[in-house]
Amino acid sequence: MKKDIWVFMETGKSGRFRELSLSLLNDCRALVNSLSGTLTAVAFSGDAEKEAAAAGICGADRLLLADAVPADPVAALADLAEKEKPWAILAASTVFTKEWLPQAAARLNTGFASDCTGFALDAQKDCLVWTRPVLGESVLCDVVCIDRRPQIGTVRPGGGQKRRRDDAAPVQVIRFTPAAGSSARVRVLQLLQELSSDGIDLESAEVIVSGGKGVGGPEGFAPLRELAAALGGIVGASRTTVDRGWISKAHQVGQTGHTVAPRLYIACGISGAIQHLTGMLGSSTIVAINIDSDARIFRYADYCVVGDLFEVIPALTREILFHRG
Amino acid sequence: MKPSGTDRNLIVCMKQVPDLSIGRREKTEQPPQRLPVRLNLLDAYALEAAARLRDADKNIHITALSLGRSGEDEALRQALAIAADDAVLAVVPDPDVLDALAVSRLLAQAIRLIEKKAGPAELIFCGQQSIDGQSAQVGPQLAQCLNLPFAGRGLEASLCGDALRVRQGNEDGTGLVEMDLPCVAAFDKFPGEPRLPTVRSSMEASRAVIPMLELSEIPAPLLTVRETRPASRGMQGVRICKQTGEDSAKQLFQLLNAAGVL
Repeated sequence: MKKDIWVFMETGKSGRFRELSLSLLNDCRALVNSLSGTLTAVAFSGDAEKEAAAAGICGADRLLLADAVPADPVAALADLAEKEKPWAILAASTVFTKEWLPQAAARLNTGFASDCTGFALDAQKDCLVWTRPVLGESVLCDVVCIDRRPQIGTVRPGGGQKRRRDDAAPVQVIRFTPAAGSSARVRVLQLLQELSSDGIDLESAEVIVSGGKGVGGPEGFAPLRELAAALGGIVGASRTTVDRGWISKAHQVGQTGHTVAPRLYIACGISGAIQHLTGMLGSSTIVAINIDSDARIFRYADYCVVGDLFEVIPALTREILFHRG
Repeated sequence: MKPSGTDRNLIVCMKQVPDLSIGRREKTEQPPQRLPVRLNLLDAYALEAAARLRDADKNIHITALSLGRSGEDEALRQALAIAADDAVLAVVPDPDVLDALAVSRLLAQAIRLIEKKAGPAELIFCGQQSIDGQSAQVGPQLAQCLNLPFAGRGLEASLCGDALRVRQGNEDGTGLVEMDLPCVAAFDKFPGEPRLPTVRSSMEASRAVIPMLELSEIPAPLLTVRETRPASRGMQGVRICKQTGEDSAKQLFQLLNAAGVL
């Protein structure tokens, strides 16, 4: 029986599959090929035709789509997995998947690898080897779930090259009725969304210029915005700046904000607390600018600039614009 | 100190973790249990959230619960010194091999045992995740094992009749949710420092006799560790420190340009 690998697709506010879920599909394709298996996108909502196309371009063979949004995602996924018996279920690591997916794993009595930086096929191809950071991001741990199926895990958005298939065979769409489970026992009373005018999408950004306590206040982000604009990127922020109201939460990078993996991450006036590192260590290149030569972030950066960000950043912007002109 | 009949029982699950703030580990082969230990930071926030509930309503009895080897009660003593009314150590012979699901099942077992003596646990709090395991799984899985509703990413909690309201951090703001008791909530760092122990409470806590629970069924871990290695980005970063910010920026630009990053 062919090994079926599922990728759970999260839906964004627009109703479309989120970029981080589509990227994960992409990342799974090569693995599925070496297993001669099938790659199935699983979703609780979405337009069948549009999403099948989107999933197909990213490598999916099939789309399992619920015919209604389940009140109980845990019961819905556990029930579906018991029926369909996938070999593995992966999802992008987000605040949502981190909560209900482990519960589905508990229901299915199987191992759950949380917030992994990567995954690969074992040499004998009989299980996945999940790599996850522990001990405050200082150690990487390879873990396996040998005896139970499906293997389940969440993966941090990675900086993997996005290969899209133009010749994708049409994706087979299979509708399913989600199991009822228990009715919602957590009642949402209020949602306070910080509105930000920029339409920020940190997860898809190729370049992020991020500010920490060192920017000193809301105005301190101005030079960062200019640099971001010059590089075609987006402004990010540490939790401290958001907590102080200097910038909206939508820009927050870190454990309680967004996990990002851009091509270039420029950390300005950020000390390098573990909770922030968790959110950006997946970046391909990390530049850190800090006036403190002992700043923790320098241990993780590829380029360490010791200096005043209010001198360095505008000067860097000028260099970029000058050489472009 | 046993809870009185009218008290609501609140159990805070606490983890004893290596103290990563003390210097840098020279060798990664050093086994975790030899490092100095401390109470996991986010569990301290869970305890603070519990204490704030009790500040508002004194009929709340806080029990700190930890899983560990016999004698591994440092975190529990800190909890007693800070705010817990009592503490329980659920003893397992080898906590290091357990995966998060096994931990959740063991905590659920321990909670059921505590309930036999103390009455139903209406509120169960824990930290969002531990600094060492970093998986954020125990909160939701514990709720699943106990068949209770769960709210994570808690920034603030309040009681509203027989329901708990939790303000949660979302990706782009916050939300307010409500769950009927009994329920489980996991807490993140929230504004304001958690209260500290006093000298007196620390002394009393160090003398406290902490009861131990022997857990009979130890589930085998379903996730096992194959290998560990230090996380590193490979080469050490290039250091740039010129006389002026302008010069540093110019050098940075040259290097990034040459590397094809821009």
